[in-house]
Amino acid sequence: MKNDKQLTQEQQVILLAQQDRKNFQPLYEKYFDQIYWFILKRIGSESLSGDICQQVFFQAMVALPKYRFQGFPFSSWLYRIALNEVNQYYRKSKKARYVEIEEEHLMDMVEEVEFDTETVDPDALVEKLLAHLNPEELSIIEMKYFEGKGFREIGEILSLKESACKVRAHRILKKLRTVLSTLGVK
Amino acid sequence: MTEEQNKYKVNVKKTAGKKVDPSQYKDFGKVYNKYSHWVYRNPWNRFQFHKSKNRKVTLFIFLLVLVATLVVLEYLEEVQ
Repeated sequence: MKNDKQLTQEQQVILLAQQDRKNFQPLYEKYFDQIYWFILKRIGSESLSGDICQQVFFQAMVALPKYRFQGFPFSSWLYRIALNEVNQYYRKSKKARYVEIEEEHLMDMVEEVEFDTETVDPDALVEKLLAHLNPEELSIIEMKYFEGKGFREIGEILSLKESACKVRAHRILKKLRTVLSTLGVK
Repeated sequence: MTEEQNKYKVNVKKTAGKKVDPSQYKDFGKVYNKYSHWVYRNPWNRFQFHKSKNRKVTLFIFLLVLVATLVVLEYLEEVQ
């Protein structure tokens, strides 16, 4: 109930911001930190993440008239813009993608892929495994296992249906298990 | 090292580490300035900025075409 009320309040703020961008400030203040951390996890550099984050909010202000409420939080829309900006940065700079994993989240993924951590070093092996994924597959793994987002939210960020996201995650894990078997890891 | 191994630079964080404070990068004025500059430089918005003048010019051209058509029709009738 409270969540619904918050959502309608937010919709009103969005409507005001669509009329005049000066009213975008409350949304900027509310979501800046979480978008910044989302980018920082994918870029690694604090100042560069700050610049990209500013660019995300600029793009959001430009595209705001196109925003339509479809039952998802406004943050999902911002995450989608942020992900596009990160992808664009890597496409332009041609640098190796930065992936940050906290050890506890690494173990979640290890459990899903099912390999014995006593015989191999999980850090090195995960690095080898991730190298077999394309950027979109990596995004799904990052959001699902390293950030703990639900399939519904991931679907909204990647413009996919929830079921399509589940299928893709399942296929990625299957692919990783195949890679493991080719590497000879049990 | 193969190309595949260079594809991603994976950093496994053992401890939570210090949390970064993003407030030093937070500046709505800067983003708003960038946006207002974009609005000013965007061709469609420049066009909209002069919309009352554009409307008058469009109306003038429309009337000119109408008058010219009527004159031509009159001339054709006279010829026939």
